[in-house]
Amino acid sequence: MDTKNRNRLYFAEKILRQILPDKIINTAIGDYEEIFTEIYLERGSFAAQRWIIYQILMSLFPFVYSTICWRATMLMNYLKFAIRNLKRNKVFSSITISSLSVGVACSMMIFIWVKDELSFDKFHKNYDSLYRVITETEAAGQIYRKPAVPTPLVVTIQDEYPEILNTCRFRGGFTGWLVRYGEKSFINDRVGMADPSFFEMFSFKFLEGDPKTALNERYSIIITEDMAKKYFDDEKSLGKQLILTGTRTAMTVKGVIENIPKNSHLQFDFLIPIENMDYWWSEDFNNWERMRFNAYVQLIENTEGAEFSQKISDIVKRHYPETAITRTYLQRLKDVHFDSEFSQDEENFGKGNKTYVLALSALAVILILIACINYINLSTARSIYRSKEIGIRKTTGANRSDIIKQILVESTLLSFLTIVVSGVLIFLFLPIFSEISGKEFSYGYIETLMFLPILVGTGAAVCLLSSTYLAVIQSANGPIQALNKYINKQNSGENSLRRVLVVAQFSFSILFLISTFVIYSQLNYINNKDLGYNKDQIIYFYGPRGEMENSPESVKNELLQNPSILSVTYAYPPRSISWYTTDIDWDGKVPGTDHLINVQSGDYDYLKTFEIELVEGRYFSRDFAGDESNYLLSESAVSILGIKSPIGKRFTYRGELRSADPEGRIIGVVKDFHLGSLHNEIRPILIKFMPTFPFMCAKISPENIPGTIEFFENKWKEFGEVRPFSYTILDETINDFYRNERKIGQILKYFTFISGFIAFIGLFGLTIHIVEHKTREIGIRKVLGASVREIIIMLSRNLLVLIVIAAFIACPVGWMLMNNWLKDFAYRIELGPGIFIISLLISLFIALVTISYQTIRAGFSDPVKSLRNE
Amino acid sequence: MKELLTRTDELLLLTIYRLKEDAYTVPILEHLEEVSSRKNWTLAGIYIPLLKLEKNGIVESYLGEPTSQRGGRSKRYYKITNKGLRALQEVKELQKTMWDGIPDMIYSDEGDL
Repeated sequence: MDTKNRNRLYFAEKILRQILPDKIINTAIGDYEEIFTEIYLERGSFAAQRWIIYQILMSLFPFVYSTICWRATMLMNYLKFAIRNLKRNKVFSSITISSLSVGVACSMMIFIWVKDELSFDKFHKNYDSLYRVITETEAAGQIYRKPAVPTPLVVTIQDEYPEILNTCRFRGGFTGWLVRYGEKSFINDRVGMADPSFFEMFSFKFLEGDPKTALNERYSIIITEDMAKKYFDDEKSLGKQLILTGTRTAMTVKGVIENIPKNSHLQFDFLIPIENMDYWWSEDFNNWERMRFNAYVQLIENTEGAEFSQKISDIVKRHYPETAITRTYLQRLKDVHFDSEFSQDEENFGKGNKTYVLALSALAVILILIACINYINLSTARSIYRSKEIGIRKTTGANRSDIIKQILVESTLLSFLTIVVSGVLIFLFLPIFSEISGKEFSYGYIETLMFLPILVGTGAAVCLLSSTYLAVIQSANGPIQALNKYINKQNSGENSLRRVLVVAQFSFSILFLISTFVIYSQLNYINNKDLGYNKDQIIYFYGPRGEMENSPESVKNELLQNPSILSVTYAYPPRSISWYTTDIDWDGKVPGTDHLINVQSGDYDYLKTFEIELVEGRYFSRDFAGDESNYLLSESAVSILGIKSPIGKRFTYRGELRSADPEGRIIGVVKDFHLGSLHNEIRPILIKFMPTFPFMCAKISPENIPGTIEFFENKWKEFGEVRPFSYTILDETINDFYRNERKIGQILKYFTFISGFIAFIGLFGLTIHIVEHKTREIGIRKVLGASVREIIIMLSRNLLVLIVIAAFIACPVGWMLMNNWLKDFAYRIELGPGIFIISLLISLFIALVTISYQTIRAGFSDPVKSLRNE
Repeated sequence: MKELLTRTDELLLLTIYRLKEDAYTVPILEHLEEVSSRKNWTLAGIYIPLLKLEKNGIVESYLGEPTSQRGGRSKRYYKITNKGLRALQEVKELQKTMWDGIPDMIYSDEGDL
């Protein structure tokens, strides 16, 4: 017989071993083998196989039937007992089931969140071979990373290295482009641009059009499903023409793609070929100075990305020795979502944070753990009432494995209930969770994450694992021990394991409480922190272009006619640290020293609009001629540059343009103010006179804001501006800096509440048990003259001690964790004892409330009744 | 109550009786397939009644020598016990009585169909 058939025979043997009775198993298998061999020799392998399959199928029924029949009867009996038990202890069953299902539901929702975070960009077929190019520059000893590259780099890199299969430049879009189709025109910030290779490298799904050729022609545009609906309703989109104000061209729709998934780091509504940008940047396409685009490369299969990355580290320097770029390297597409903290704050919005993913995963596990502890604690406590049943089962002949089986059946029932209840909970709370977490989780979406099998798996695993402990404990007793509650050890209400578990539960709950407190105090601190300027009621927007382009001052004056518009300036708000330089010179500079300074540009009304305080000198003023070439410095800039008595000193700055400005003077010093988020230290600032036309900021009065906005809109029409008025609120932009922190704070707040809830209902159940267990003790004490107060103290003391112990564990851990978290902020609160004391007090208070109902009732109980019980 | 042998039991016992020293499962199956001209006998269909018969003391089994043809596993031979022989005898007599007076070709009372 050949090996193939031998293997088949072995396989058949395995099945037969499962179904044949033990007694005849060896001889029977011998029989099968004998006949199989005979048929094989006579009629070939096919006939032999057919015979054995037929034999197996025919044997299944008679043998399996008899075993199953008996097992099923026993199972039904176990199930009946399980249901009876659940019903008899309504309070305990509901505490167990609710804490388990709340725990499972919460951790499932966290799981959905985590899985979504980890799923970023995974939908691309070339996920493993795609890389983003990162460049590093160095200034004044600091390294700045950027995901942008010099424009000609992608062409060079592809020519030079055979490892590269494809390259592509991409840019996500500019603020405020107008996209028009006939009468319909909307402002869109997501008109992306890319090279034609884009759709070969990235797998966005085309509904219409051909991905291979979609971007080949210059005036083509790809739109998303939503945009197709918005502009063309149900009409066919292919071949339609959209007018773009950004490039002043009409684009032909060459493809419609599915809406970009939320878990893609590349986001756009429209996509046009990159060459259209020559309208703006015609000179930049061959300029190694300019970093306008992000670049992606696809390596050929089996190329080691890290190794290849080494090869290109000096590529820019080789082609353009004057460059400021010190290193170029590749970042795996895998890392893009979690490793996108760049020097420029704006780049960081919505980027992932691995620490938070880890922290939340830990939170999910802990929540389940807390729920399991309830289950274990309450059921070991309740086992005093079960032991009689188990004792009787044992005396009537059940062995240990039967008892274990019974407990497993019970936990299966429990896990079934848990899964159902938590499924319902998730269904109800998913919309709320989506809102808290700032993601859009639809029921359809979570199904794609293998949600159901994992829910069932988690629910079952949780119940089975925690019942394993019970099974081992409860089945271990012999029948006499089980029947006699005075011998039975684990029935003594407060065994040490239970105490440890309760302490663990409360340590976690108190830890969460502390963390939530710290996060919220820090967020609150940030909110109220004086930034050095007033961020309230400031909006920023693009001013009118067209005819008004030539008279910026008159636009200002027109707007200021409205008394609700307090101040207008052509300036960028201090929202980012993106513009910095070391290219400055002043009277008395020590040659060879380099200082990094941030540049802010503004006009005459800059200080007034942002209410930045002037310390010395004066601000740019229309009354002085030649102020256009003068400068202001912030206090820290003065001290870092080491300028003594700065007012009137000669100062020069050659910004990015490298064109020599006329020599100016320092005319004033302002108080320090924060650029960007409080994660960063305060930075030295140079204020330069340079109206950022047409970009402007306005301070508006808090009264009648809708009226003011309407005024803007009407003025825009008056000015003959084609684009509608659209604005951003500075306060919101700044809030966005802390979006991650706020989100984590919010999630943590809810889960603190939930973990507290689970821990405290567990405590509640335990109190009921202890009171019940000590009924006679209480009775005797009362008869002997104990007061109600003494009874209450006796019952509560032990539990409250546990909570204090928990607090002593949680506080140092919390202190360490939160200090670590606060390190992210350059400006942060001090962790005093206050937060810890408050957390402890809150926990003690809630614990007291939780147990007091039972203890007080026990204290007032009639000793006659409790003693008569025996 | 003492139960009568079923038809399958009867066939099995008669086969074992005939095979004498050679009565283990494989020849039993082959013989049954031969005489009944039915091919749907399965080994499992033999094991179950044999297990029952053994439990009731109608047959007894003993292990033979292992052979290489069977992957080194031994054969289980069956032998009819005295109790089994009596039961077989009983069935035979019962059969005889029951068939007595019934014609060789069985007709319907209502005549030809």
